[in-house]
Amino acid sequence: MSGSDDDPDLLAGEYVLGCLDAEAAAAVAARAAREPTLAAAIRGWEERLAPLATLLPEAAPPPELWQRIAESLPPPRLALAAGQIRRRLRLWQASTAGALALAAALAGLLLWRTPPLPAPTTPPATPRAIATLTPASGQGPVFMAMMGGSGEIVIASAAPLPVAADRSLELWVLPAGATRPRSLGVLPAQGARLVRAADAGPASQLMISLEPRGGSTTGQPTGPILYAGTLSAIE
Amino acid sequence: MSFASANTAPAGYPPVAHAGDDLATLIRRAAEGDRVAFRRIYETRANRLYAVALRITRQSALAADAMQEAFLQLWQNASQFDATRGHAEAWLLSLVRYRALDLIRRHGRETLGAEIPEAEDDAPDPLAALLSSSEGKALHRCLETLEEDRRRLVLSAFVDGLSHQDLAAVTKQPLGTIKSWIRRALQALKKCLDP
Repeated sequence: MSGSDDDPDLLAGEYVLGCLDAEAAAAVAARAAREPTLAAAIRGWEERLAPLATLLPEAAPPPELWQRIAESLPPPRLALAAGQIRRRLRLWQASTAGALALAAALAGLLLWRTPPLPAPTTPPATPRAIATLTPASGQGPVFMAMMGGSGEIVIASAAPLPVAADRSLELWVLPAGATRPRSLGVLPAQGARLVRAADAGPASQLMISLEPRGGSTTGQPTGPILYAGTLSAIE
Repeated sequence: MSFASANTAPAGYPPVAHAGDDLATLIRRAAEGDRVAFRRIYETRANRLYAVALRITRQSALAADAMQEAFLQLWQNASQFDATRGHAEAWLLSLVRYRALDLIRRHGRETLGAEIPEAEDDAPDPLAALLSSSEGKALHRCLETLEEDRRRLVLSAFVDGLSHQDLAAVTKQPLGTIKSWIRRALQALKKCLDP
């Protein structure tokens, strides 16, 4: 790409300015989800340049737009319950028996949810790697993923995620060294999902993007990357 | 760049933000599921944000899509907004801009080239609207320190959503030159704004 890759602050500036192409911009967004320094640099540029929006004359949106937005809103999530679950997940992560506790946590989630899933969602018996997919804002783990020896990955959210009726969350894997993410399918609105990614391993990135209902039709993420995380080997 | 009509907001659109419309507070209330607060965000900011989306996409349908996606994101991610770390207005503006930029990169923009700035606006100071806020004043002063062609690149990228490639095509400059001009302009702006 460009020389500004070496300087996160310049890269952040180019991203906020809007002059990166789609692929480069998506790469920056994914990186920012796991690099707090880059995320902070982006916030800095967003604040520096925001006054430029006042240069444009205001323009009234179509009158029906508010109705469209209001109708697409999912029910409000239960903020308190979600927060409690996240805090517990953080505790589990911090515990010395992290892997075991995580397995128990995911198994617990599966039982507790009992979602109507066609696919089996048994957590891998011997997890090889785990990942926490954090929201792009950098606060609080929301998705947990656990990978078994043959690339089977169980992923679950810590709390039901409200997604509009015309949108889906899609899971992507970016194996270490790969340049383009590969779709692992659309995630259920709640509960866990079992996917297979033979090419995934420790250091592979997992990402979740917001897509039109049913998932991206281009083979690449088309909406914002909402969550991202990297698989770490369990020793 | 045609910024001259900056003060011709359509009549009949009252809601200028006032006390009680502090965006960080409204976002916090929306995070708790308060739809009234969420609607208030839309009422007080939609005209500004839609103008931004429309300028980038040049198509009202795409601009409306960008707004819908951004407000959906706002509703879903309101609880993740951390008022201590970011400026709420800049955060919301960014939600809309990134959605609009993403849409034109996916769908293309039919009218590209037609309205690309070739000369400064006729107004004596096309950036005068910046002078209405203290942050804007600082940015105005720092933009003034840039050479005119560099300043125009920054504005075309941010306001019109032109990519490196678009800017190279419009200015008939090599891509590498554009990239390096923008980087230098960004460095100069940062140095000027964060002394």
